[in-house]
Amino acid sequence: MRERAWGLGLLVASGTYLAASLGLPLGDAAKPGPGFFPVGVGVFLCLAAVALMVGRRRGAPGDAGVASLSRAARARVFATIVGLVAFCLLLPWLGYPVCAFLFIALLLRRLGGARWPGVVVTAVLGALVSYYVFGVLLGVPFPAGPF
Amino acid sequence: MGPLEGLVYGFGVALTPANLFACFVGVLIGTIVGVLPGIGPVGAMALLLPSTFALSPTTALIMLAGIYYGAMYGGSTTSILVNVPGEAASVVTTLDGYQMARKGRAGAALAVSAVGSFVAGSLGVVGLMLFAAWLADAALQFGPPEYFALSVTGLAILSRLSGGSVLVAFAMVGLGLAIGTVGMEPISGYRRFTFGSTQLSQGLELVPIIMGLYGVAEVLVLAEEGLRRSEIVKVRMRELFPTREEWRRSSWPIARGSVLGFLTGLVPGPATVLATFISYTVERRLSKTPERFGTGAIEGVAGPEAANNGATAGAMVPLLSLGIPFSPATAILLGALVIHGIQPGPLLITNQPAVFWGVVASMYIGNVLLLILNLPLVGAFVSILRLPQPVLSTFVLLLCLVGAFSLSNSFLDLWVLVAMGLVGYLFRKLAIDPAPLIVAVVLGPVMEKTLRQTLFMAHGDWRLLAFRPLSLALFTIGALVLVGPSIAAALRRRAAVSAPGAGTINP
Repeated sequence: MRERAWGLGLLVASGTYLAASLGLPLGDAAKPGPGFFPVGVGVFLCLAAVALMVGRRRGAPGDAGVASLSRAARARVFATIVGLVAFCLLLPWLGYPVCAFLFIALLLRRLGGARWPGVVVTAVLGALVSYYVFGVLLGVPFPAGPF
Repeated sequence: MGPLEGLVYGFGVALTPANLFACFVGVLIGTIVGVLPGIGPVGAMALLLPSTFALSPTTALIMLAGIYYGAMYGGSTTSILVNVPGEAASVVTTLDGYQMARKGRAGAALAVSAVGSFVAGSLGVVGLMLFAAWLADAALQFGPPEYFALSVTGLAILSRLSGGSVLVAFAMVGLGLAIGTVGMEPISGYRRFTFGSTQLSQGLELVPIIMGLYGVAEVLVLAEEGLRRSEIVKVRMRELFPTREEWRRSSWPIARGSVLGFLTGLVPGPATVLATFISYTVERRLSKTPERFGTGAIEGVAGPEAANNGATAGAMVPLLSLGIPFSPATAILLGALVIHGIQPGPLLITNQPAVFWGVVASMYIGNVLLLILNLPLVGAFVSILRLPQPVLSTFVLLLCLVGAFSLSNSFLDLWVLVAMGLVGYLFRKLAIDPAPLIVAVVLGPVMEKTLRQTLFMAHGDWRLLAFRPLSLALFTIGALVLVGPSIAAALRRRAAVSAPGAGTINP
């Protein structure tokens, strides 16, 4: 089922890409334009997606490795994804040190179930040391945030 | 400059304090990421690429190459002691390495694997030195049709060898090529799929794509497992000496593994992984006692460990002589060259002798450093595994985020990292190898440029593309690799059906 969904998703993405490519100047064989290669890639992708879906329907062996996850495992993966997305969203507003602190604290708490005092100490140290190394020593211009 | 002259010159470059230090840091980080199951050499190289911006191109490449081959040493340590391969090229080592450890021969397995890696690494560098210079000379005759044919054939072979279904690999290639078309196109500068964004007009950066597909995705998989404690076999220093019989059994597998590994490295594909499986199969076939394999046969450790190191040297040949990477790791090395303003291609050896010979010589030095680092300090490296997995995962992710942002101080790269992390996680769940996607992202612009140049040259006549002798040969090889196994299987099936007593097919 998940393989079928992936084939369908790929077909939709390929179709969208091909449609967008057809809007680019195509040129001709003697003088190919900027759309020439993308259209070729789009057609190739669509064919691959269709072949994948047909192959699955004929009962070709599906890809292995799709196992159902426990609720706790799903929660850990979800927390990690939330942490990553929140970091990207909040970085421009809160600045690096605060975001790094929140990110480390969330993940240590959700992935390993560490106790709060240990979490806070590790998160403060992690945020400050990484800020010093990257922001100060290597000069990465992180957003400063409100502080 | 002849090979010997070049090597002397290279040692002059590699032995400067800055380059020697970069080599040491590279192989040390390589060993550590090889030991850690959470992050492999590709993720680590992508992660550290931004930190090499301040270095000279030679120093940067020496450090990144050190991570690549250093990881092959570190990977074997956890395979032998913990039964957990640090990276994919060490999976085979768990079969006999861990069994040896359970029988109290962990020290011998580690020593043979380090010496095997050293021998293969050193022989591989000799091969690199000779092959790359020869191939670069030949490649000076290549025009756009040959480069296009080489890229297409490389991707075709990679699709066949990357494991799993060829159709899925084709889809990965298509996705990679599509990603490579985002931004300004290579001939007229026309902006494609940029949605008015100036950042997107530069195209999508390779590094966040790789960090997402490998680093973030790996951590998401580890997050499923939660807290995990490893049982580590202890090794004492005096146990590190294999017996005379063990040396005798290992010497030929090491020699064969070195050559096999190097040759596998030349072929597009997951060379280091493939080399270990080929070497293991060859050793078991050649053995008079194949039943010992899987129960702690030292040949099953010596051969594959030599092979994966030989393959890293082999994989550098197409990169340094043709400027074409056939694996994600060499794609990052290519990225490093481009970022430092060096034009990759057959003229690299002539125009940038310091880069080529410096890297080659540093690989000799790196292999010696790795031998020194890995044997006495094996205990120290293994103790890294005692670090709780959640702490490690958290800091690997934070490094990925910082690394992606620091590339060009862009929030777009952060989002690309996270999106690719989710895509990579999905691929892992579907057992899809993302290597063809990465290589296609790099080769896409090369393919487009050479295809369009060829068609310009030939006034739209497609025959120029297919019928130049070398192009034709390359396309034929690609087609044979793609359809050959299917035709062979069909012929075998037909022979089995028409043979008397059909129905009892031997595997």
